[in-house]
Amino acid sequence: MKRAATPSVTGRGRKSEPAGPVCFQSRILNLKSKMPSVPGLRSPYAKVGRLVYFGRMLDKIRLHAAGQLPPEYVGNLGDLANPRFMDARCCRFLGVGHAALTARTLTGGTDDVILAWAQAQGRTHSDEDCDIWSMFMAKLGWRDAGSEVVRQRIAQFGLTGKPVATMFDVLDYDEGRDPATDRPWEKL
Amino acid sequence: MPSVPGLRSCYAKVGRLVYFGRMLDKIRLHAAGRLPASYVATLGDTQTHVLDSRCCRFLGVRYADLRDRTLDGGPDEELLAWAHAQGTARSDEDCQMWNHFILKLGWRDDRSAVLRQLVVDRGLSGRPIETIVDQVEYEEGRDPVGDRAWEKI
Repeated sequence: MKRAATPSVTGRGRKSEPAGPVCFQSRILNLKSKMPSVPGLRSPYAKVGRLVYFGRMLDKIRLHAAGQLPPEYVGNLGDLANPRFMDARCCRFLGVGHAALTARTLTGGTDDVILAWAQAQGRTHSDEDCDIWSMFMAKLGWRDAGSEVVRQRIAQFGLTGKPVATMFDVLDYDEGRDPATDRPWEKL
Repeated sequence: MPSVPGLRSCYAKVGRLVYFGRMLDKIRLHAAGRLPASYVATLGDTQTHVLDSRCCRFLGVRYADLRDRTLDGGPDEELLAWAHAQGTARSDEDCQMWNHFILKLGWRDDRSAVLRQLVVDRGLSGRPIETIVDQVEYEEGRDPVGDRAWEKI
């Protein structure tokens, strides 16, 4: 997959994105240093209802609207930049557009209310469909087309030596969490 | 368990799906009296967690119906088309996610403890087994980790 070059938003020596599969949403930019915890941005492992990642997507929408989403995250927000980004995957699974979800999120309401809205608007899913999707997302980057991207991010984000196996692990370590110790996959 | 003649790898695809072809093999071998006894207990969709059962639920068809249709004859692709026509509509992305879900089952999930026990019970300790499918493959004499079988699906 080819990715179009995007302008630097960090001014920190960003390089162009290498060609290849890109399977995760946040911090797709080639930054050289570790991103500290972003207040108000939860782990991708956190569930709302039956789904991982959905709550994090809502956080990004709210933070962006409030001008509090770091610029490194803005370039890959939504479902238009790349179909393999996590926002895009989540929206396709739900069957709702990111623009519509953004508008609904910013009108207010709890995560559960917004998820119920999305499920009413979009595709119907069984509990097992949601479990398959959540497991697919939580394991993305391990033994699949995203594995090379995980290796790249480990080097780029200064995570060498950390037990990073998945895209979710990349995001958690990058933002200061420790999934290998917390084992969040055991709580899904 | 050594390699079972006529029983293909879990990784082998029919159409968009891994495992489906293996399920057909098991149906045919069982009907012919050539499926080893140790496989018979996990045949079908009566146990929620077994792979036959997961595949039937994903397709939206009952195992008994698929078995009957399979034994009526026809190539794998025709049987899969029948299952798709009978059951739940699935997108390419649905199928891709299901394939990865099945192939990674046992790694970091609620089947991990079962897998650890299976490795011990089947005498496979020391093998680089991380998934249920790894266990099946090693038990039948294949080497999915050495072959990096997941890179070919």
